Amino acid sequence: MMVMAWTVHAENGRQYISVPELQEWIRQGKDLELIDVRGKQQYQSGTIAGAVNAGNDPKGYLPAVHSDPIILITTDDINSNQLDRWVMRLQNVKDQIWILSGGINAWIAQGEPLEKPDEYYTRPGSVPFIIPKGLCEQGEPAQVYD
Amino acid sequence: MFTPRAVLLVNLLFCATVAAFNLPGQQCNRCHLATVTSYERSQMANAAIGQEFLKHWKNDDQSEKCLLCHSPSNTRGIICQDCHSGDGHQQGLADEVSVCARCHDAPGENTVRSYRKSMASMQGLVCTSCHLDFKNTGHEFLGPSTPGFMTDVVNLKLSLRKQQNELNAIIQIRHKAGHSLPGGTIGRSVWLKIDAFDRYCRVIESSQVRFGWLKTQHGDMIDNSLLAAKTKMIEIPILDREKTAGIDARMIYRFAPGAIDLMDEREILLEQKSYILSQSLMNCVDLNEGVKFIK
Repeated sequence: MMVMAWTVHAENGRQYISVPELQEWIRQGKDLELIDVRGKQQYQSGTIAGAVNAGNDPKGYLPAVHSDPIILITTDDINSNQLDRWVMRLQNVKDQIWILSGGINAWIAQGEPLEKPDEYYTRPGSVPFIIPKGLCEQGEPAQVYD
Repeated sequence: MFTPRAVLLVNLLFCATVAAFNLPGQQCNRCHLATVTSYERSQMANAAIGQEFLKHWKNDDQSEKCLLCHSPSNTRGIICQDCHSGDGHQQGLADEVSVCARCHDAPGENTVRSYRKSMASMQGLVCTSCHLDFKNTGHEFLGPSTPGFMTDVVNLKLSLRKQQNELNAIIQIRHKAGHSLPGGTIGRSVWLKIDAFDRYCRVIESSQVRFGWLKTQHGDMIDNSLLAAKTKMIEIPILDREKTAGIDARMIYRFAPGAIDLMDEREILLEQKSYILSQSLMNCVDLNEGVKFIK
């Protein structure tokens, strides 16, 4: 089995990051923006924790403005034209765009976990709740919003 | 036999009428004057006489349970011996985090429990690494009430996804606290407020999400605070895509319990991000100060 000699590398003007290097950045708590561009269905079946569903149309995604590196999560068979469209779209506002080398399959092959977005996505009003009114309710909340 | 409540009431009355209130901790002054002096400025040293506490304590029928943490030695707050236990010369903390956990993991708090699972804990940081000002032998506890303490704590990212006829605001929230945010008791909260506004900066849609403790319709308390070192994502559909000229997202820290529209003079704007979709908005948007909403 060929061992990848690099952790980050450039190819056709694009920058790639390997799974071990990304793991290391995450472990260090580095500020990153993970962008999943595989489309809603694949995204919802499992993605890297904290990744955003950017859809699969680069024109429809308006990225957040910040200086954190972007990690692009793709399928391993994404065509190069589509990849270039994503990179060009993001280059308008970003300095550092990294493509996860081997895509999501490389991540899975390393035994890394996927998270179902529903586990950490929240939609306002999706969970009925009552706002506590007391400062310290001692596990026996008596004062709540009606 | 006096109840703790009665003793505290007498003490508070005494405190109000005698300027030189004789704190039991003052015996520590002899050797640790600077430390005790700075500690006495802390919220903790005055945990039982704060206006907010007294207001809620009275509403809660002056429950003695509250005093277990707010006045364990029947004084105006927490005194040296409450944490540095022992007789005579006081001892250091054998397990600092466990000492804090006595109250900060009390029912309605999970500050220390969430800390134990955090990156900060794994890195060997303890509560006082962030919450104590060691400068000048100080012992003043720092927290959200301390000016500037919450600066840069929250990292908020706002992006938009347009697909077919849908427009969604995607908000990513990550924070640097070594425990869940907000820490502290049930009433503390962090709110995410999202406003979509038209080209005249009039708010046309508004959503709020509250992070903190919530009570379900079945009466259970659930912890909906923001976990440490974990990105929280909120996706909010913007309904009126045609009229929406911009979107504004704000994270707000609140001390007062209850809904966001209740006045809280101490609330802190943690972070604000705006997305401008129309150039015609520029007359009501200041890039330094954000969107000037028209009420």
